[in-house]
Amino acid sequence: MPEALLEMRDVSKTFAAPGRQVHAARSVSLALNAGRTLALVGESGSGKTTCARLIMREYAPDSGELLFRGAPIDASSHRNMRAYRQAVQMIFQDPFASLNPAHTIGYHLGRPLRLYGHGRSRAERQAAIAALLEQVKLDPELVGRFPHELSGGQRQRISIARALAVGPEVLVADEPTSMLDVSVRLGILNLLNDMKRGLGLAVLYITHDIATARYVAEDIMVMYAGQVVEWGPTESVLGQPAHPYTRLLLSAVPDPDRPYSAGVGVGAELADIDRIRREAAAPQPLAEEVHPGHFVRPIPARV
Amino acid sequence: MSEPVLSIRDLSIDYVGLDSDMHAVKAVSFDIGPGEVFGLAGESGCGKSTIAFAISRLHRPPALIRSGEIVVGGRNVLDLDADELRRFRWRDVAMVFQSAMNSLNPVLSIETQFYDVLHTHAGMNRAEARARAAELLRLVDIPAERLASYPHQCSGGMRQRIVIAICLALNPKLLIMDEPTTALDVVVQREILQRIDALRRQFGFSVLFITHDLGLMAQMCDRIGVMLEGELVEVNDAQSIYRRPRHPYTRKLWASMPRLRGERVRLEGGDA
Repeated sequence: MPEALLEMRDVSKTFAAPGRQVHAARSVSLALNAGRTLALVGESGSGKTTCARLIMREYAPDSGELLFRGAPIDASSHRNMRAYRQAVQMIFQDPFASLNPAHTIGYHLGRPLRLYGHGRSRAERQAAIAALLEQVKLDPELVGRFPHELSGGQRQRISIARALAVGPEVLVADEPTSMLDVSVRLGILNLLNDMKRGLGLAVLYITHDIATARYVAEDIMVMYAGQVVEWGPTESVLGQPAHPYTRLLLSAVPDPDRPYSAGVGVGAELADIDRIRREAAAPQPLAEEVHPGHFVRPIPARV
Repeated sequence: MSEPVLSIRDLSIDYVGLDSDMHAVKAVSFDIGPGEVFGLAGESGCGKSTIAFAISRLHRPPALIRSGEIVVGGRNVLDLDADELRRFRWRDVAMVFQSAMNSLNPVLSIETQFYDVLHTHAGMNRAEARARAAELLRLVDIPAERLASYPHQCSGGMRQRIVIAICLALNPKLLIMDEPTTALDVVVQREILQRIDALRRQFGFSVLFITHDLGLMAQMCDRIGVMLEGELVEVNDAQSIYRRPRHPYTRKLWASMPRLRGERVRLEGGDA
């Protein structure tokens, strides 16, 4: 196994809410490798975005550590953090909120180039911007436009281009397609796949849409209540789901082959949603390998 | 077939502009039968929500209905005066909006929001409204204690179910749901839609279901209409739309959906 580019080891993060503690991440371990996509799936509140924010160093872990190229990140060193931020870039969910409405596309792409010293002269930067737009399959003519003149899909491509501007090694994409139309969504997913293969990027793809996860990711992790309950190669986890919560999630995915009217009724999992959620939220410290590289945290037997 | 609950004939709606009009809906016709779930599929801007708003006469300028009829219970909705319209809304047609969970008033308790509807449209007093509200909440699996809660104390899925319960308060003939679960997770989405499906079987109301998720639509609906740039390009029963789509656009929509099973292949399309 090659060394992971970025690793979370036993990372926990707890937030204080009135009268209770919210365990947003409980001993989460994951590894991102060059040229591969890891999908993190789960419903809202499962802790997916907390993981993204821990990786982006927006939150500091309560315990556990983050390793970049095998070494812990030294947050006290300005130079280290700068290198880390250059290497790890993020794409956000809302393409309407993640671009500044007062600035042109050229500004959005020129700024990271300038800050990270790619292209010192104006002409060099302009050439770099044109190349970036081309890379995300947009018309270089868009450079003088403002975000409001672009469609959602185009804006999301600008977000990707902005992330690519600094020459990153890791992309963290938090629900990058959930606000886009189906046909546009596919274009973004294809682009992510192209970037992964062409540039050898390590991608963390966060989503609640398991079908898109399957489309982009070699590996998948299913998260609930701050815990990763099942993980492994995508085909193995989706084909032979072992955790009741994974099965619940899969049975809820819209499936035209199972119309409600056919009287199939709810699956065993759906009839039992509350119990499965309750049990899946309990601490599950053990992990068991059910297939090669495919692990599950068994729900502790009720005593 | 018995008389349709909703019959739309040659409906054309424009958004009036300074220089030119945008033709949002172009001569669309379809019927929804009693107890039927009819889906309107299509991408942003195809006119599906414009139709939904027009059915309850909730469209506002610059939207202008150029021609056509919207017939509900034998009456053309477009001919109703203000009084008739007030009686028509909620009682004949109720609507769940896309971000319905945010359409609850944040400063009123859930009970008061039920009372608003039940008092205005059915003349109930506080006690009657409370009893009816508790009954309605039970339909969507929410305990009656929640009546005292405020919207922010409920989860998104719960708020969405509360809105649906309010919509069912006056036993409407038609429930319009415009992207009712887009903002929710799959598990919650499934719970809510399966509940709606059971309720329509129990009470016999019809549903106009709008979403861009064709997979979900094929699972939920009896019949589906596919819209493209204001036109209804294909209408058929749900399984035919799924298994034997005729229009190239319907095929394109299916082709752009990553699947959970089967071969993992690169799908084409969606380029900017």
